[in-house]
Amino acid sequence: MRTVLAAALAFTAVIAALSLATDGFEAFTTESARRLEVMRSPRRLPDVLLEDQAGRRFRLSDLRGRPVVVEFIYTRCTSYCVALGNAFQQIQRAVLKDGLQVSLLSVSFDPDHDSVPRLAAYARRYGAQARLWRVARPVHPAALEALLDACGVKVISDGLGGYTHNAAILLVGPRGRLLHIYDWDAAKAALRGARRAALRGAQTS
Amino acid sequence: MKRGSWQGAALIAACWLALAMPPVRDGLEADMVRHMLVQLPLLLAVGIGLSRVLPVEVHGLGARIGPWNGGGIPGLVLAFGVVLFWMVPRTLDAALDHTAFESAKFLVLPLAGFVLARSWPRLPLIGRGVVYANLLSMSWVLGWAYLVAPQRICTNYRFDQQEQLGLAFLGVGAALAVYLVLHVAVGGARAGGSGRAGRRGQPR
Repeated sequence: MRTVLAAALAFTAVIAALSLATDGFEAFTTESARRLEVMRSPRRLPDVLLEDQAGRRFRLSDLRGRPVVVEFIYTRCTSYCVALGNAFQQIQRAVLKDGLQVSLLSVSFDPDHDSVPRLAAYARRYGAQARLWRVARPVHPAALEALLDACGVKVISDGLGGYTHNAAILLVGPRGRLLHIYDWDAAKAALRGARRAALRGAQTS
Repeated sequence: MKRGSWQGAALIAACWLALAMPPVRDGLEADMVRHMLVQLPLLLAVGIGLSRVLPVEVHGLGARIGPWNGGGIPGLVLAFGVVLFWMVPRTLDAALDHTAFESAKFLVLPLAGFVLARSWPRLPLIGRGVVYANLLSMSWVLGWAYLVAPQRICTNYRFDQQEQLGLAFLGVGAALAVYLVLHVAVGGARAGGSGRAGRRGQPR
């Protein structure tokens, strides 16, 4: 009897610990946890100073008023960032075609290498229109850390001189809060989200 | 190492400290295979070692806990639960990202190893069979899952490390299978059937 009780207790403890650590068995990976957390409670992002492909300096808060679709990249990347770039191209086309009140922002997490000319080259490669799609880098290293941290972006070395990162499409609302995180290849879903956020933004302002 | 040998306990404590030292720790955690299949088992081994050198009875504690751990089942549920917990991709990441999780890992896994070592001898033969069968199948299932996962499951590890871990798990499963076959063949021949294992399986 005591053994049964103890076994039941042990089992309950294990299930409870697992449940606590996985948001009730919903998020078994850090990536799904970050998406769930953002969806449940949209988070405020640090108001970092950035520098874009034209050398213009601006703050993240300057983009408020319309939803912003955000990606984190480094310009040398030959894998996920290319796919992300294509997704952004697709989003820009839709924004232009439908006259949506949506901005695009690519943030480099490799500001030492990604100088303004390199950002401009990246922007040209994907046909980014500067008034709509800013390709930027954080001006201060501390700002980069804070921004990556707030967005849950983890950058590690790929062992070949480049980086591996949890590539995704982030949606920031008109009031500057991170609303949603989409897969790197989910351009259509991100666009739908941005459309909704733009409508809601237009209604509240 | 003799039971009740304090030198033995000190040596194991030193190993535990060494595992926690930044060069060793970082070295083992830099790679996914080393983290999951070397560091975690070594932390378990610290607890298993401690259970070997610490006395069986301390102030009658063993006798009091014994009746609660019939067949070693509650202890094994707890120990395997702890191992499972630290193999979840998210907790593996959390151990690298948050000091609190890392500290908990270094404390709880040796504890689980201790409980495991004290409970295993109490488990009847059939129970051991169940555990082995599960370990074997889980190793291969996990290995296959890591090999075919289309995306990275840990933000701290690369895709190729994940594939290596998949292969390593398949290897662990294969090694376990070979061990079991040998165990049955050799053990069976030596003891002339299940008699020997049955005696070993009796609760202490």
